[in-house]
Amino acid sequence: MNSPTPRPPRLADQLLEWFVAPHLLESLQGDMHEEFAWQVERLGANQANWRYWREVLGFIRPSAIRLLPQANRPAVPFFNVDQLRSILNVAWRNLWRNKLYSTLNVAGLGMGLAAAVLILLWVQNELSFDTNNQHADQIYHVTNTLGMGDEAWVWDKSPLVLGEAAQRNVPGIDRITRLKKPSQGLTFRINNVPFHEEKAAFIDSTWFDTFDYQFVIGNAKQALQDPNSLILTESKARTWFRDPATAIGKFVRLDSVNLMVKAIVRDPRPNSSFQYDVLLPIAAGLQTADQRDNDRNWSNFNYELFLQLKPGLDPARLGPKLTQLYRAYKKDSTVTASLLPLTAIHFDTTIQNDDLPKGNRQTVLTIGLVGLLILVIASINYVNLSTALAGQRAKEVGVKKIIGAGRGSLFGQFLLESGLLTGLALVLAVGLIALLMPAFNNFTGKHFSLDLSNGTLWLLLLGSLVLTVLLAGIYPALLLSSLAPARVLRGINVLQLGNARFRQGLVVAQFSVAIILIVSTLVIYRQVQFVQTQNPGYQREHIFSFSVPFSPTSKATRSYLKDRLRETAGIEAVTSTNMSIIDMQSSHRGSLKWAGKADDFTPMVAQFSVEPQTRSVFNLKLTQGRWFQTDIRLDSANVILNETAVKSLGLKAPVVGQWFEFQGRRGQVIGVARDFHYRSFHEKIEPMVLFYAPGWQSELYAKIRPGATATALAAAEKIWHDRMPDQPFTYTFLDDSFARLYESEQKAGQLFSLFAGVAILISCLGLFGLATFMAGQRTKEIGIRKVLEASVSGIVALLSRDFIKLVLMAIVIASPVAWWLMHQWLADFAYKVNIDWWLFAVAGGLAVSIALLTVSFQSIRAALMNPVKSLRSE
Amino acid sequence: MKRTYLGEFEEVVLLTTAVLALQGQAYGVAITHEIIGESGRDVRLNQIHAALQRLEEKGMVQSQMGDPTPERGGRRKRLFTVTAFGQRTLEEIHAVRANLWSRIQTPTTPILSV
Repeated sequence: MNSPTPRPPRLADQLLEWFVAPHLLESLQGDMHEEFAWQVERLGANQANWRYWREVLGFIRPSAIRLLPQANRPAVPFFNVDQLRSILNVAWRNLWRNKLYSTLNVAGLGMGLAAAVLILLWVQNELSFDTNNQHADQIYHVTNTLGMGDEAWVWDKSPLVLGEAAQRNVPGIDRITRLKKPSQGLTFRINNVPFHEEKAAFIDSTWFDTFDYQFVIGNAKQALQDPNSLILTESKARTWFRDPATAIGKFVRLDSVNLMVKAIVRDPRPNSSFQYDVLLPIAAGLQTADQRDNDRNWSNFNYELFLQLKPGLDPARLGPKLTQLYRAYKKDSTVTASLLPLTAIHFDTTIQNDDLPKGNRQTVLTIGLVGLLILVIASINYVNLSTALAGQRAKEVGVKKIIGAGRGSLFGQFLLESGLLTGLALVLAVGLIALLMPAFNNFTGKHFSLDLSNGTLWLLLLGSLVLTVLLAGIYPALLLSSLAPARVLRGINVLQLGNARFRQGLVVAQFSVAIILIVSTLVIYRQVQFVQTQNPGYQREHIFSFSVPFSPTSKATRSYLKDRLRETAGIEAVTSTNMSIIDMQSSHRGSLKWAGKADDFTPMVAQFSVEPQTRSVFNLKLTQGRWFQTDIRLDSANVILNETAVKSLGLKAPVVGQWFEFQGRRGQVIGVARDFHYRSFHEKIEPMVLFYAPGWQSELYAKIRPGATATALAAAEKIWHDRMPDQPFTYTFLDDSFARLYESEQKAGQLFSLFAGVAILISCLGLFGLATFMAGQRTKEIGIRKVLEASVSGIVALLSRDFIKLVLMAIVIASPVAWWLMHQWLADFAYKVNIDWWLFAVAGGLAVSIALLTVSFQSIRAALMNPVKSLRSE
Repeated sequence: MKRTYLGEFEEVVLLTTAVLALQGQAYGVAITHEIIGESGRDVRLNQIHAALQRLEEKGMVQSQMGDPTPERGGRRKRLFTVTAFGQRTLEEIHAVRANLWSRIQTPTTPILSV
């Protein structure tokens, strides 16, 4: 027992010394040390240490922290309770006295905050994609590239066996994990009821070690041990089994195998790239020998492969090593592998056709900027109204300064006032957010919630609050605290002209933003309208499309379905093609030959595999020659070119009848098709080769006789189920798919009109406040004018003129900016509308009339006032 | 005027202070240990300190600094004594309770008849 006496934990003791009031410290700390010594004796040093910490933290209470008795307290502005109370009192009375202005301020700021927080919530979500995983910075996605430069084909799937080979042969890899998403989803059966699930994926046993999942029931260790196990998200478990708790141990049938639900995980976060609801071990998808042969093969790229590297390893060095593996295991491979950081996946644009939810950094940043602009507009309202009302506060400032208030404490007072008002606005904003959340989720397709345990949400709310207080509070606080007491109390007008100029400048800024948003909305809408209504060169009405799941028999199934559908009443024509006519991504180069082709000319052409019936389904037009015919066998070697192809390949007239070699088959050009838009209007029509290859098809199209839609679809479904009773019949109408091509533009249009609406509303609130203030100030002037027989309309014009001038200035400033911005946006389209001058006229006219409407309410009221009343009080 | 309100915990602390003050040993740690020993309830030092502070504000105890002791690192104790007001409050509480108890112990039907 001769070891040195244990001492209380140093840090805890320092903490205690720091926060406990000095006059209490000695006896209190003494008691603590005595207690500590006693506890060491009783329980040992460890327990005593722990208890000491608990005690110290327990002392963090007002009675112990309380500062010196009143008299000894130094006069610190801000931390003085009485002064704080007085400031809050004054602030509250002021808000109460100017009810109208306070309401306008709170409403404007509240709306601005709500809009900004919602927008920033989305922006933050986009920017933080996949960063929540603990090892996010060590995880890399393997991507594969074929070809070089502009024409490289990059995709995100790798052979299953690459993972194991990499683990064995490449040093520096901590862990590999793979995922396979079945391209057409999976159909599960529960008690023989089929459930088709698109968001299903096969995963490696290391998946949960690599990516963070929260297990509600079960754990990562045992969830994937058995090949016949299944993991569900909470919401999927709820839709399948009603209660997630009862789902465990239930059986779900996939093909001929029974899978058991082994674990329930939380739904993936909205900022996760992996939005899967049903997870199965990879082994569950490799039950048959066929499946195993198919996937254990260096030529089949079906799996997304992720590598978790040892910390500090340079990922650039790993790509070539993986490429070497390709060469080693498959002699003729020309694929190169490279690594993409997990956190970069969301904004990556190199990968073609991947299944992950992708974002556009440009769009995200633009929208974030607009969100901040809305906050700025709302702050401007506060600045304008509070500086306009500064006259009312001048006396208060004067008196306080004479009594001895320093500029700093006055500054603090006014900043605190704006903080109070913004706090009120925040309450309103939270209410608005709660109200708008369902619509917002609907619009974004994400699942955000007003969950107050969510740190990010708090960060956004408080961040916007602080930003607003800084934006809105600083200038008025500076202005008010700078007033000279002598001048104020002598009754000299303290607010100089510069102040009014500043306010006008802010109004111009507000309306400029509003006008830019209006013009943007108009342009986006016109472009969307243009691309939707422009004739793409093929028929898209009354056509529905579907595709047959890939299997060894899919070719036979396809011709079976086509034959049966052709016999169906209500269906006019049926055909199939290699890709969707709406967004044809298949292209080819290299094998083309024709008379007079230069050797070094290897143009890229779109390749469209069609049939004799294709023409009538889509109503395609020919400018020369003929279409493919069933009874001409040579047509499987013949081609049809589009007009652009004839021009850019440089075929000499007569085009029809020339020999043409394509994909190793030599035939003739039998016709020239009129150009049609087989991709979105973002892209120019490129040269296209149409050919007749019955084996090379996947999409099916059926044209319905107008009016027979319901019966035709019912018949089609029946035919489908006759052949594939287990597969759900899913189809889309061509015009819907066509509209979806411009979904993001349409959303942008809606979003901008919303932004413009909010911006205008907030600006008008401010304008209304200012107009009210102006009319109030000029009451006497108006009275005298009326006595001198000024007309009502004259006075209204007088009062409105100043504001209209500001809006006109805003139009002048906003127009070139809006033009430039929209010019940039439209540059992304190969076919686009012009930005006509009248768009600016409409936007300007709209802004002027809205402003006029806002102002006129107050100016008419002022002009109608009885001059006797306004002149009597003196 | 109604007497100052005293919570149950405050009352225990006040009573313990009165007991320990007889030996001049009524300070934070001693009171804490006494209460733990007597009632077995799990009290912590910071709760006792807070209660003593409230009692001092109510004028029921007063304090002065005592002598420094080695296990306290040479720091002085704050020794509490019960004021006359505190004493009277305790007596009043006791009287009220005694009165109520006496009515239970002289029931109309005897608990124990010989």
